[in-house]
Amino acid sequence: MIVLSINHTDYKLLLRDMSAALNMPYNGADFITIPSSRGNGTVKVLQLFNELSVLLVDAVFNQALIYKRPQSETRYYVLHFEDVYISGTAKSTIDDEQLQKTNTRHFQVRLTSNIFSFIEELPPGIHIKSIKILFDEKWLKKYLGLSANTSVLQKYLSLKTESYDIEPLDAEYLRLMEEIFSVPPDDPLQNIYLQNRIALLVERFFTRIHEKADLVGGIFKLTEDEMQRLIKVEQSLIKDFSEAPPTIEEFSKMVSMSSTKLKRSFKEMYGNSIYSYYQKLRMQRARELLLTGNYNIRQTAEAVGYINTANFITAFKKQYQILPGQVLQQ
Amino acid sequence: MFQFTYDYCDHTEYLHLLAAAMGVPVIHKTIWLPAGIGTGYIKVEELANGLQVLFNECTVNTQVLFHRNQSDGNGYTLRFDEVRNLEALSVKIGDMMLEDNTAIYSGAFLSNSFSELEYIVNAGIESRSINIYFTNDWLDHYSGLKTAGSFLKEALTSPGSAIHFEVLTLEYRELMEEIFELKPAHPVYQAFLQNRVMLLLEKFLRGLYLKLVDPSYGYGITDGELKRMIQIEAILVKDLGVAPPPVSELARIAMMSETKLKYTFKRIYQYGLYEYYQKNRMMKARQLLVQKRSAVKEVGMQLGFKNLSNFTIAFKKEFNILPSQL
Repeated sequence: MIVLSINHTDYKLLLRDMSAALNMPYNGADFITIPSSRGNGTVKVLQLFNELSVLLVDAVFNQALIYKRPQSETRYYVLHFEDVYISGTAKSTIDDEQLQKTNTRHFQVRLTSNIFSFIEELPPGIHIKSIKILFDEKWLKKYLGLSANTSVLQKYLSLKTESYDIEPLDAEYLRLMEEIFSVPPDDPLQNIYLQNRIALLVERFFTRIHEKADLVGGIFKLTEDEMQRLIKVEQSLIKDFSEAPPTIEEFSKMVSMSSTKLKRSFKEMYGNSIYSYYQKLRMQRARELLLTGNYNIRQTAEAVGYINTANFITAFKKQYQILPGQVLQQ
Repeated sequence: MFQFTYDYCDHTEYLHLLAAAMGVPVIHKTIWLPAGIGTGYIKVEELANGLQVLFNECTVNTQVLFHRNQSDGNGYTLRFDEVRNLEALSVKIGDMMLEDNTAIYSGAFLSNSFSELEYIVNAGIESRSINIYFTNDWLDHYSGLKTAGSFLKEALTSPGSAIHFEVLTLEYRELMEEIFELKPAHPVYQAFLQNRVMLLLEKFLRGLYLKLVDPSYGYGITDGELKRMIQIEAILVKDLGVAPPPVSELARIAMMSETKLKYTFKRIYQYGLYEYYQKNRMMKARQLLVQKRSAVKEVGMQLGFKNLSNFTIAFKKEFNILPSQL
């Protein structure tokens, strides 16, 4: 079991502690590679212009991983972008509330702060892909013009574990995360490139929670249970693009929600209607397949469930304004 | 004619000097042009990361000449100009690259304070621009170029390289549009503005870098051809309410075959001639609708759609929403 107690705001110290827990030397670098006896992957720290501290995790640990942050006086915030396939049970404890997730894809953006103590326990052997952005009140004020007393922020944080499912990690967030993880190490502009993508992640999260809070009777009014059910819909919607997704009626039965309510609350939570969300991710998947170079256009069309290649090309062009063939040429 | 000569300085100082020369006050870091010169505003924003941005949307009714004196050089200005009239604007920087009377229509260019800059805007011109000001220190401490991209920094700072120019592609213009459309009520206004400005800067530096490592990256075309393409672009979008001249006519102006024109244009602007015209038309429609100056019907007519439903369909195709949903 790897236990990391964090009572500082320096992710490099976290790398040091993590190395110690894994019984490996730490040379002060800004990344560590997990030895094969302990798992695989990397954990990396970005210091952007001495102002933002960012932790990039793309790794599997053979042991359970526990992060603990005690409550403390100096206020800071962590914005988490997480894509984790949980097999087994993961637990999060915020202050006195506990949330468990079992055998599911955890696919969320959430903001935590050290107003409350925070413990996260992840089972061994799961693939963790996450970006954590740490900042303080000063940064919040300076860059976002938000104070700790901003009502949206207070309201959001007071939801504690219920805040977990408010903002799903949708296609747009995933695209930015992917760009961050795949920046070439020899890119002379990588500093600006990374900073801009990180800044866009932050901007998007804060814009979206404002929008959601503005909806009268909107997402903040959805119960935790309803949000869980919507996540279930979202996951089964994008599970396999090669087959037609369930119909709204089927979804509505599946999660015991009227189709009107389902459609409305899905849109509130994911910002798109069920079909356009599906279509967006489907085309994104197609684009990923094309970029691997292992699929031609016809194969890609089939993989995302198009029998007619011409229809696929039209749909692709509609979303990306370029033809799939042009992506292949890239 | 209005003439303004100044020494290189940061944007805030520049705005005050310009206000004094025009005899207008600076209110909330904004000046409004006096009636004798034109209409519109010039505004400066200081971003949290130390960049200064000056933006303006102006129409001048007299010729305006800006003359910037040479200085010892700690500052850089990256300008993005969107000018929609031919013969609108001419730029002379030292004796470099853009010769006398070379009309620049729309483009992005970087200049540093080593060079003298002369800038003429002719009467009747509608222009929008975004100028980003930064210093050597900023480049060193903020951009991360000092270590990772020292050769890029050298290219930017050497006195000889007075100017770097990029064609204003639709991607740039979309970012500019987002900045001009930004409402003060946006929940994270500062961050949104800063991020778009940084994306403009990133994109420009990326283009510059690619050209440095691979001079043929340009577009494999000559400077002369590039200038003629800029001219063609200006003609295409000059009046979005009428159909653009036929390709044969454009080819004559560009002094190249139709095939070569189509090919070259697409390499630079990423879209075919007509597609580019159509995209600009839709962007303009969006702009007019967002500013709430006009009704959907008026906008459609203004952009040369005789049939309103064709306009609605074209708009929906471009933005995935109906014009009335804006």
